Amino acid sequence: MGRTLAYKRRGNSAARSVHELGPIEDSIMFKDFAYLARGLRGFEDWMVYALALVVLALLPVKTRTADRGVSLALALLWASTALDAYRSNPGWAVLAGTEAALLLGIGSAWGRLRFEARTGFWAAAGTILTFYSLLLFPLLALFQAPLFDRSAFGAPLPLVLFTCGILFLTVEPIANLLLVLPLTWAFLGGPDGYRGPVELDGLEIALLAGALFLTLPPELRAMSDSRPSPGTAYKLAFRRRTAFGYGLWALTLATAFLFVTASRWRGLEQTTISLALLSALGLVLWLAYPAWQSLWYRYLAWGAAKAGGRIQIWLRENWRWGLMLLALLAVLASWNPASEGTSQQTPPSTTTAENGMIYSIPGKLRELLVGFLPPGKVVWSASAISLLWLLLEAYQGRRRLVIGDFEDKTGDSIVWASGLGSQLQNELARIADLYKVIDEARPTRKSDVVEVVPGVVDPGTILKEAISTTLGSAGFGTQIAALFTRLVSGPQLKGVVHKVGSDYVITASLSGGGLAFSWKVDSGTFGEDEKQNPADKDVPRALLGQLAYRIATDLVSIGSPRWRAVRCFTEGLRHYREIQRQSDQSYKLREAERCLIRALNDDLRFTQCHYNLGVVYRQLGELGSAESAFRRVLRENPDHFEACYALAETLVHCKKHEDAMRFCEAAIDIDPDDARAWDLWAYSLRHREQRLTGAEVALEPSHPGWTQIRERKEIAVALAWRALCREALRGPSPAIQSEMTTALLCTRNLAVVLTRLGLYQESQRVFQQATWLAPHDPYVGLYEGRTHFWTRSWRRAKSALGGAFDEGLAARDRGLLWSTLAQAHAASEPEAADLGSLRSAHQRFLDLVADASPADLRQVVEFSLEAPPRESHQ
Amino acid sequence: MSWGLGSGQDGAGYRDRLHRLCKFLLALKPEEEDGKEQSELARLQRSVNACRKRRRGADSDIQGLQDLQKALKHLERGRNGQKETEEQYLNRLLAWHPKVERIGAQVSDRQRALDRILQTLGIEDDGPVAALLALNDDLSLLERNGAAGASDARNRWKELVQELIGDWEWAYLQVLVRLARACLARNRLDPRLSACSQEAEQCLTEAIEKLERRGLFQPRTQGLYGLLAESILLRSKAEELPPEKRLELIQAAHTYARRAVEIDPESVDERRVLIEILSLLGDYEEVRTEAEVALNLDAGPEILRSIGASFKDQAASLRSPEIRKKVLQEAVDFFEKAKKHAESAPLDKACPLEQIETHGWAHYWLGLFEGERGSCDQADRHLRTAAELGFKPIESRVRLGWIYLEAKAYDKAGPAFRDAATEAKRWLAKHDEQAPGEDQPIEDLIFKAYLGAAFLALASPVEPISAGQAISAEPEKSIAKAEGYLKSTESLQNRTDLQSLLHEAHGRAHLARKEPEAAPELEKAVRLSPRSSAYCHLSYARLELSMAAGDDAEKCEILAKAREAYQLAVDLDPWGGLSSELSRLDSKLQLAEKPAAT
Repeated sequence: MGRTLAYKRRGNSAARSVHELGPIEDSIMFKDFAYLARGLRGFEDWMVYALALVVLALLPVKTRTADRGVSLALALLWASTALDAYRSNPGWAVLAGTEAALLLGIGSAWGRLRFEARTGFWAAAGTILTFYSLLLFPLLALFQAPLFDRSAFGAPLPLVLFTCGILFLTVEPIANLLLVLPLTWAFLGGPDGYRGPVELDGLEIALLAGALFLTLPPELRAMSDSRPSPGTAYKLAFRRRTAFGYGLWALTLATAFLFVTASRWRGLEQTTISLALLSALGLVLWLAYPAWQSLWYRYLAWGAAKAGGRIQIWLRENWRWGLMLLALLAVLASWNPASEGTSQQTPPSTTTAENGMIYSIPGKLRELLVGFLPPGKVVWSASAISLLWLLLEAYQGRRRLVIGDFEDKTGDSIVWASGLGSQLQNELARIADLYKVIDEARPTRKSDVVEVVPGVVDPGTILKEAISTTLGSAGFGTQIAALFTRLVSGPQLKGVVHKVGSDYVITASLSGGGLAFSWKVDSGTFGEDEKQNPADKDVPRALLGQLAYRIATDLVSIGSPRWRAVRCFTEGLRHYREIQRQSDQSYKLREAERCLIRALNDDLRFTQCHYNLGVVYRQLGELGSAESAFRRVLRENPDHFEACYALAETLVHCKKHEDAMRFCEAAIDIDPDDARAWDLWAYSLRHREQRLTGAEVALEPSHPGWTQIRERKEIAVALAWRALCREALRGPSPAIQSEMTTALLCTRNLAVVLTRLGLYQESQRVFQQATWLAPHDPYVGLYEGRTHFWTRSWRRAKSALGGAFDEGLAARDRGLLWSTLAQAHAASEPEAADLGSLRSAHQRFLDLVADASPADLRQVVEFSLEAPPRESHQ
Repeated sequence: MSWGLGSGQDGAGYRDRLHRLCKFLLALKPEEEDGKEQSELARLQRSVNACRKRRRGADSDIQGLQDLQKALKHLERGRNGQKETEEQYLNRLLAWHPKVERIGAQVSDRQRALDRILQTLGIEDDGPVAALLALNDDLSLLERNGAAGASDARNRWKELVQELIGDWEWAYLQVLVRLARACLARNRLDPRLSACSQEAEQCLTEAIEKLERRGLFQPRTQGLYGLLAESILLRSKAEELPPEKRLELIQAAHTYARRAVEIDPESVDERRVLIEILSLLGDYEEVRTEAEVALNLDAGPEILRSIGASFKDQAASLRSPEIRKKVLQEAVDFFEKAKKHAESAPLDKACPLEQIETHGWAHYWLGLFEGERGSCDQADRHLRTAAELGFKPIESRVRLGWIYLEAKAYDKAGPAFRDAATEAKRWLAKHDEQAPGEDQPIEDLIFKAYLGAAFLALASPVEPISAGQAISAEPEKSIAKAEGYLKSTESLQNRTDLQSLLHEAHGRAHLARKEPEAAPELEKAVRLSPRSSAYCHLSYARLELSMAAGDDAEKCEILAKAREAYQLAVDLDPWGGLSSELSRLDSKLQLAEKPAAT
C-alpha cells in the first residue's frame, strides 16, 4: 500500500495510456498478437521483445551455438537498455553496458555458459521467472492491470528478472559473475523514475532468488544433472558456517544501522529494504541448519520448543484456542478510537513519514485489524469460528468410522449379534493401540550408537477413532461428533449375521466418506490357525477378530494387502511389545519371530514385516539373520531408510566397518536429515581407521581421519537437536524420548571425539549440554569426568565421577569409572578425608578386575588405564 | 615413587600400580588366543575346543595354583608377623625372590610360569620394592640429621609399605579363589575326589573372610558363598562320612547357599546349589519354587540336571500312585517349558556345547519322566533325541531299554540294549573322552545294559536277537558278561544295588530252569537291596521249593515264607508296577496253601 501511494505521489510519467501505441496492430504478421502489439511502443520495443523470444526459442536447443546465441541475445538486450539509459542515467547505463559486455565475452565469445538445467528447483524457478517476464508481465501491462506498467527505461519486460531466470538454467560457476550486476541493480532498486510497485517486487524477488542462488554452491545447484554426493548440503553448510555467520552478522548490523539512521540517509530507503530482505533470507537459511551448530542456539531452541509444545497442547484442549481467539478479537474490537486518533496525530518514531515507504509495524497492524474488525463484527467472528469448527469436524468426520448395529438373521434363541458393533470397535481399537504403543520401544543410552527399534505405520484416525453407535459410554463431545459425522456422511459400517447350516456368516459393508468396501467372514472357512487357536473356539469372537483384521487391512495401509499376513504381523508386534519390560526376552522374541515369519509366508513382499523380523533377530543377537532380513527389505524397497540404517548398524556390530560406511552413505542419501546415519558413519570411520592403524584404544589426535569424523559428528548433533526440537514443538509424546536419546548419544559422542582431539574446552562445553539433556546419565558423567581428569581438573573430575553410578555400565566403563576416580583422588595429593574415597574406588576397581574374564580384563586395562592424550591447540 | 598413591605426572605412579595388579591377574588366568583377527569359524571352533577341555578338566591348573599359593603364603606370613618391621619385610621380600622354594622335581616349566606371574607383582632389582628400600635409606639419613618433616615422610613411607603388603595379600587371595574354583571344577567332574572339595572349602573360607575384612565386594560379585556351599555339599556326598556328619555339612551348605541367593537373587548358579541342597533335605515344595525362578532367570545344563534329579528323587520317595503321577506330570510340564526356553535361546558363541547340553538335559528328563508315566512313545522320542544330540549317548539308550522292558515292549527293548552296548564300546575305545552328560562311568552303563538284556531274555526268551551282536539272546551269557564286568572293575557306583540285581538275575535264571539255587540267589539279592521284583521272584522260588518239599510241615513253613516274601513284594510296589504278576502269584499261593492247610 505504501509503495503504491509513494508511486502515485511521485506521479510517474510511465503511467501512459495504451492508446499511445503505434500502428503495429495492422501488421499481418503479428495479427495473432494484436493485443500484445498494442502494448509495444514501436520498433525498439519489438526488437527487444523479439530478442527475448529468440532467447526463449534457443533455450531448448542443446548445442554450443544455441547457448552462444542465448548469451548474445541477452547481451543485446542489456546493450539496448544501456543505450536507453545513456542520456538520462549514465550510471545505470554503465551497469547495463558492463553486463552486456560480460555476457558477450563470457557467454557468446568464450562460450562458457551452458543452459542445460532442465529439472530440479532452479530449472523450475528459472522457467517461472522467464515466463513471467516474457509473457505474464507484458500481458498484464497490456490489459492495464493495476500497478503493471513498463519496466526500467521503458522496457517492455523486466530485464533483471528475465536475466536471472535465464541464468538459473546454467550449471557453471561462472554464472555467478554474470549475476552480480543484475543483483546489484535489484539491490539498488533500479533507476529512480521506474520504481513501480510491480517493478520493485520483481526486483526484490530477483534479489532474493539470486542471492539464494549465489549462496548455494554449484554442486548443489546442479542437482538435476549430476547427482551430488550424499549429504553434500550439510557438509558444505558445516564447512562454510563461519563465513556465513560473519556475513549474516555484518548484513544484519548494516540493516539495523541504516534502519535506525534512516532519516539521515536520504535516498537509501530501497537499499535498506534490500538489506533487510537479504538479512531475512540469511536468517531463514541460518535457522534452517547452521544455527543448530551453535551450543547456545540449541539451548534456546530446546527451551522454546518445549514451551511452544506445551502451549500448543494447552490451547488444543477444550477449544481453548477458540476462546483465546475470541478474547483477542474482543480486545482488538474494544480498542477505542481514541488511540487510533492519537496514532494519526502522532506519527511513530520509526517511520519515514515523508515518503511513506516505511511504517511502524504496531501501527500498521492496528490499522489493519481495527479496519477489518470493528466492534460490531465480534459476534460475526464468533459465528465464523463456530462454523470453522463444524467444518473441521466435518472434515475429520469423513475420516472417522461409525460402526452401526449388526442385524441378527440367524434365528437362534441366543441373539449374539447384539453388541457386535461395540465389540468390533474394541477389536479395531486393540489393533490400533498395539501399533501406537510400539513407540515404547526406544534406543538405549548404553550403546555407543543409536540402536534400531521396530517400525510400524500409523493406523490413522480411521481405526483409532472408530465409533460405535451402540456404545453408550462415549462422551458428549463424541456423540455430537458422531451425529455430525452421520450428517456429513462419513464412512459407516453395517453388518448382518447369518447362519448357513451350522456355520455362522457375518457380512459387513462400508460406505460413505469416499470409501466402499464389503466383507464376508464365514466360520466354515476357518483356516488351521483359527481352529488350532484355543482362544478362537468362541466362534463369534473368532469371526469378529477376522473381520477386524480384514477391515484394518483394507482401510489402513499397513504394508500388506493380505489380512492373514497383517494378523500374524500384529501378533508378532504383540509378542515384541511384551518383552519390553521382561527379563527373559528370548522366548517372547522367538514367538515374535514365528509370527512374523508366518506373516511373510502369507506375503513375502511385506517389507515392514521383513524389517521388524530383522529387528527381532538383532535383539536376539543373531546378526547374520538380521543382516539378511534388512537386505531383503532393501531389495524390495531401496528407499527404506530404517532398513538401510539398521543394516549399517548391524554391520558395525559385526565389525564390518567398510560395509557399514557404505550403507550409512546410502542412508544419508535417502534421508540426509536423520542424525543417526551421520553419527554411525563417523563411528564406523573411526573404528576402521583404528583397525587400519592398529591403535588399541583411539587414533592419535593428529590422524587426518579426525577431520571427517568431527565434521559428521557435528552435523549429527545439529540434526539430532533440530529433530528433537521439532518433536517437542508438537507437544509431549513418546517420540520425544526417542529423539532425546538420539540427541544425547550424538552430543555425548561428539564430546568424546573433541576430547580425543585434545579440544578439552570445547569438549567440556558439549558435555555440559549433554548433562543438561540427561543430568543423571552415568555415561555422560563418566566421560566428562575423564575429560576433566585428562585436563588435570581433579576437583571437577571427582565431582563428575562422584555423581555417576556404575549400575548398568559395561565392565569396560565400570573400570574406567573406578580407575579414573581413584586416579583423580590419588593425583590430587589426597587429604585424610579423601583417602576413604580413594580406597573405596580402589577396592571397587579391584573387585571389577577380579571378576572380569581375560578378554574383558585386557579391554579394561587398555581402556581404563589409558594415559591422557596430548592437548591440542585450541 | 612408582608404587604409591601416584602424585605427580598425572597419577602415573598409581596407574602403574593398577597396571601391575591387572597384569598379575592376566598372567594368572589361562592363556587365551587372541580372537580379533580370526574368522567366525575359527572362533566357533576355539570355543568348542574350550568346552571340551573344560569337560576333561585340567589337573595341571590346580598344581600350578597350589605352587603359587604356597609361594604367596610365604609372603603373606610377613603381613601377619607383626613383629617384623616394614624394612625387614621388604628386605625379606627382595631376598626371597627369585629364590622361591622349588616344589617337586618335574616342575621346571611350571616354575618358569610361576616366576613370570610373580614378576608381574614388581619384585625386581629396580622395582618398587627396591625403590622403597632406597627411600628408606634416605629417610634414615634424614632422621639421623633431624631434618624437618622427616617423621611425616616416614609415616608416608610406612603407608606405602602397607599399600604394598595389601596388594600382596590381595594377590594371594585371588590365587586362593582361583584354586578353589579349579578344585571345584575338578570335583564336579569326578564326585569321588572329596579332597578337592575340602581344599576348595578351606581356600574359600579363608578368602571370603579376608576379602570381606578388606571391604572388597568380591565375595558378592563372584558368588563365593555359593561356591563355598557347593564345595561343602560335594564334601557331604563322600560315602565314608557318617550320617550325622553328613547332615551337619548339608545344614552348613544350606546356610551358605541361602546367603548366596540372598546376595545375588538373579544368579542361577547359586539357586542350583540351593535346589540340590533342598532336594537332599526333602523340601520338594521349596525346590519347585526355586526351580521356577531359576528357569525364568536362565536355565543352563547344570540347573536342569539338579532340578531333574530333584523331581526324580521326589517321585521315588512317594508311595501314593496318584501323587506320584501328579509329580511326574509336573516334571514333564516343567521340562517341556525348559525345552522351549532352550530352543528359543540364540546361539551362544562362547559356549555352544553347553547349549546343546541344555537341550540334552531337557530331552533326557522328559524321556525319563514320560517313561515313568508309561508313555513309552514319548519317552522313546525324547531319549532318542537326547542320544542323537550326543548327550548321555549310552545312558539314554540304557534307560530306554529298561523303560521298554518294564513296559513289556520286548521287541523294542532288545535293540535299545544292543545299541547301548555298541555305543558304550565305542566310547570305551576313546580312552580320554567322557561322553557329554554321563554321570555314571561307562562300565556301570555296560553292566546295566547286559543286565537288562539278561532280564529281557528271562522275560521273553523267544525274542530273536541275532548272534554276533553285542547282546545275546541267552540270559546266562548276558549274566556272565555282566558278572565279568562287575568283577573286572572296581569303579562301579552303587555297587551293592548292582550286585543285588545280578543276584536277582541269577536267581531268576535258576527259577526259569526250576533249580533249587534260585531261592538262595534271590535271598542274597533282597538282602543287598530289598526290591519288589526280587521278593516276587523269591516268593515264586519258595513256591517251587514247597512243591518239592517232603512233608506238610516243611511245605507249610516254606509256603509261609513265600507268603511273607509276597507280602513284602506288595509293600514295596506301591505304584502297582508288578500288580498283574503279584495277583497271579497270590492266586498260585492260595492254591498251594489250601491243600497244605487241609
